[in-house]
Amino acid sequence: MTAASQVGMAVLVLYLVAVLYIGWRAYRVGSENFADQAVANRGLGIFVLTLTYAATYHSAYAFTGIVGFAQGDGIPFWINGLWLVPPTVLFWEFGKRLWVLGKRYNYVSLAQYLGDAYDNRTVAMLTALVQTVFIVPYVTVQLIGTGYIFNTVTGGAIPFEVGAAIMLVVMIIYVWAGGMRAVAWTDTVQGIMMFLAVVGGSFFVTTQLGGSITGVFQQAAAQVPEAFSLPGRAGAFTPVRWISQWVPLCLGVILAPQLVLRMFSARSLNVLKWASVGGAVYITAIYTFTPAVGMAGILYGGDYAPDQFFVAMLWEHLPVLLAGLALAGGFAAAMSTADSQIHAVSTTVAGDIYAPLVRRKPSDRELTRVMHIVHVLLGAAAYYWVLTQPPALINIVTIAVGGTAMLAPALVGALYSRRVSGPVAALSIVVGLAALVVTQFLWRNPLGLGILPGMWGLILSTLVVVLGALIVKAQPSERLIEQHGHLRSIFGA
Amino acid sequence: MNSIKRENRLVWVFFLVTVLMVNPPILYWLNGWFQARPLLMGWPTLWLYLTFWYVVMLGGFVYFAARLPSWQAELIEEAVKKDE
Repeated sequence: MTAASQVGMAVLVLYLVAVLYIGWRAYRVGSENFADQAVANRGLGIFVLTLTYAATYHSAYAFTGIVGFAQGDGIPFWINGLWLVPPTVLFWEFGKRLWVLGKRYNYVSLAQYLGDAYDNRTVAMLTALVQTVFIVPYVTVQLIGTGYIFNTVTGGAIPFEVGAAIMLVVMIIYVWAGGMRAVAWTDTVQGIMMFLAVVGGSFFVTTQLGGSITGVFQQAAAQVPEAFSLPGRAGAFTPVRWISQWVPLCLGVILAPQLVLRMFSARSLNVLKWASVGGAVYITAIYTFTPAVGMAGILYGGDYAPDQFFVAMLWEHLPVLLAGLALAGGFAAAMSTADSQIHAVSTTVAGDIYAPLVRRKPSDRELTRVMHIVHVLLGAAAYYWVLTQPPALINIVTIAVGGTAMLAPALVGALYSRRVSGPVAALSIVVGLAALVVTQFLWRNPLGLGILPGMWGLILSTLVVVLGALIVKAQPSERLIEQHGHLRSIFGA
Repeated sequence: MNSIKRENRLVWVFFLVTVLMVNPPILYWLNGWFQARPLLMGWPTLWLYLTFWYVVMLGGFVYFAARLPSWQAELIEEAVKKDE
């Protein structure tokens, strides 16, 4: 290992020790109470909730995928903003209602709320399954990202599989020990690191390669002018594609279990509100110089794969200590999402799948044990896919966020209407998922309309809810009537 | 119309307008301008246009959070306590 790799490795090791220490501190103040493990006893403050929201939201994609996106499609990549700001407005809009209901009825998950509101166990189970199944490949993708960083920093001395395994083990240790509190506290530090690494690293890499930010844009505009307007460099962004890309992503990302859990975790509504605002500002501002990195990738990327360009350039062009810190930021980006996902899946399995299936009310200790088992099983499954990287992995990740978007019509039906019945809500989820899978794997681009699979699923799922509300004379459950009365007395509408 | 419904309507109209400005057909009507003038003040014109509207969305979000009576969390939490 070169001297530079040794310094980089030392920085990564220090970072891993730091997150383990934070996890231990969280363990010291926490308990095995399920609500404490799941949502930190609804006690997160503004600063922590803002950063855990933002860090959970932004994954290794902030270092790899988005640069590849900008390089491949040019400036139209910034459609990305539509799944940054609008979803966070929805985080507040849905979140304030779920937070209020969560306090009154002790909900810690979307499945608990929907199952109770519709008085329908199928809705609850479907919600839990959707939120669980689609997350596993996402964890795999984060592990692959960190394995690559380890490999880059060590000049190949640590194989990518070993790097991914180290990251996974560290994450499972602190998630196991401290639950949501450990996840949120480590996310707070990781969020700060990520922001500095992406913004600072983007600025530095671009100016090193092209002299200045505007210099890179000028060179790129001269060489690849098609990258600066629609339909983009690859000609992909037709009007239909534009809409059918962002709408399901906007809804799907906010209904991912790791973000829904944070709606229930706020200490107060004031915290939830300002964390939403702060989160929206963070997740948008972090990409300030990303278009420049994308253009630099087009001009100077050479043989680098587009989504590896930024990481490689950070390592090659920053002074070694700063490069190590920046790549630790990349680690932080991947870990802060993967730890939240592992935690969220374990909470969902324990609270929404295991608990309803056993015929007695399980104790908090039992639920926490189930969470621990899931941590290990999920980690093992995700790591198996790291090693095998099945061809279907990318397709599954592509539809993962679309999958959780299929829950949106059922959620809106419960929060804002009393005309949707439980069977209709359940059917909407099934139909939406079926449409998503069919149009992704079996019948690509039906009717040649250019509508993406996620949008097909959302259209059909919404149609089921709307037609169901009009045709089926639903008797709203007593709980739903009570909840609507409660929400109306609080929100006035 | 009660004031809360009026405020909610204002919020949703605001966000609807900002979202429409960064979507077809408006975005594609302006594409000729992005093609004719790829850079503005050294930055991509398309990026500046989209960022402008995202900042407007963010600014609206901050304003509503700070000033809209129906979004004042203290009042909502008082109503929660009363309802319990």
